[in-house]
Amino acid sequence: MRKGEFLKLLAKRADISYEEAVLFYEKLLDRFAKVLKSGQAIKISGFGEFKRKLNKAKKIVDPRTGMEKNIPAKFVVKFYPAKILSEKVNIKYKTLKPVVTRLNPPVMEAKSEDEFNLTFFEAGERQPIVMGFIDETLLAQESSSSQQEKPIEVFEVEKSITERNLTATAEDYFVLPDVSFGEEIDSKVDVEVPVFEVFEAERKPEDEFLKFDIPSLSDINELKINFEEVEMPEFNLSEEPQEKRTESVKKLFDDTQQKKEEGEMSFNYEEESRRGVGPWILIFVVFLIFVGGVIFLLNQYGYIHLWGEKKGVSKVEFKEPEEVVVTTPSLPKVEEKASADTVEVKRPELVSKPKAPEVVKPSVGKNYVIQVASFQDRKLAETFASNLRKKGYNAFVEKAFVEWKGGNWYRVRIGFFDSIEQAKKIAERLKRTEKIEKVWVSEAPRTVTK
Amino acid sequence: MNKSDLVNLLSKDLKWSKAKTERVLDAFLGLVSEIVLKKKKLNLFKFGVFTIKHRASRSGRNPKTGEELILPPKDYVHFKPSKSLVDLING
Repeated sequence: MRKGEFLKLLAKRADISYEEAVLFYEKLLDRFAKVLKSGQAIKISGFGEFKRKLNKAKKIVDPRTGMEKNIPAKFVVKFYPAKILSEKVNIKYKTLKPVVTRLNPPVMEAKSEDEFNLTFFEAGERQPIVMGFIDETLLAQESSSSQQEKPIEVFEVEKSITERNLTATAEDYFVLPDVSFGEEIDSKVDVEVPVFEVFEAERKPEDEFLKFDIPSLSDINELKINFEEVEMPEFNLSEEPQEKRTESVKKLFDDTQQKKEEGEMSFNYEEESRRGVGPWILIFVVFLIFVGGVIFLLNQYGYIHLWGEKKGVSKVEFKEPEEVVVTTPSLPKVEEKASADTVEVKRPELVSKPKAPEVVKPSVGKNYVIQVASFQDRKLAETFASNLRKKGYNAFVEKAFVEWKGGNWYRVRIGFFDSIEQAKKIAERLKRTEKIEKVWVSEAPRTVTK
Repeated sequence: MNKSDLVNLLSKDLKWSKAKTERVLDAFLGLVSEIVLKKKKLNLFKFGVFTIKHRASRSGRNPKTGEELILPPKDYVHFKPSKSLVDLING
């Protein structure tokens, strides 16, 4: 496969232009080399692992010239395929499994020769040696005759042997104690000894062991499997139904088929997305309406002001007509200084500079106040008042509860004036300078102050 | 280094988004493995050659139990780095 073909396939598969594919390939190569040079391994799950490996320096002899050559150490790249990839590669050998040709024979431990440690039953191990003294014909007869009767074996023990080795051997256990060797020296002694079941049991496994035949080399050769005859499963990579695959095996890499697949896939995605989005849009619209209503109501009640007439500084909630007092012509002034008023007397001086010297006379009966504005928000009221205070008016905030207007109102007032005329003069000036549309002059007791 | 790290680095190199880079890288790897499986050989220029090699059946031994076995044949993917890649790494 050439460079162009591969990159074209890549561009189609990834849905990018050919130039982008070329760029991607170059950058990928650079990055691969950089990462491998730094000593890191690149492990991509589902594909494999690229690792840097050091080939050691070595010496070789050139057979032509007979000169020694040094080959320097060198880094090479090793690729270890991932398990999934190697399974895909080995898919036709999937059914094959290792065949056991020979089982490992069980390890036999050699018994110790120490006779002193032998018990009576273990002495049976040495029976094969004893067998040498027995007529085999007799043995065969007895074993064949009947096992129900007590099998009796005849032992022929040479006297000479017994004389020489009187130390305890396995044979001695079979000799009956009654027989004395001294009386019959030259004659052979026939001793009848019952053979215990232990010895019978010992023979059987031996026979079986002998029957166990080890497979010969020729058998092994026959065992070899002809792997070619084993059915190979279909080479199915793309997980398509097999009927389709048989029709278009060669078209796997055709562009037309890929295009179709992509088209179908994208169409499905669109459908699914449309289905999913519908109810969400409804919910979102309902939520928007709800939020809009809340904002509208808040604006209506004046908690926030986003549109309409500005409620801030310029818009003023005016005092209810009930409280407006149309003051009657000036009341008789009493020139008495109330002891309680001493602290507050200074205020009118500060308030209006021009009239401060004149307004020193506090009245006992009534005080007059100019109401400039009223707010439902305390902060707004206080800022408004502080603005006025900077300009030289003695402004203050008064809290009032008005039931029919819905809650607390903060009234910004300027005060206190002893006579209504003073108040009216300042009110007119306020109208001119501060451009406040409506100003009320009202009567108020001094104790109301903050 | 795994695939996500590689995607991060590549997206910086290419100035593409991570999603796009990952999509292209996935396509690249899928294409390589498919072609290798199908055609048994792929020569990626300046990168190396991927080939599928065969390993014949052989007799072996299970070191744990001492059983003698006949192991089935096997295929494996072999990668031979190109000279330019080896030079880049050694240089």
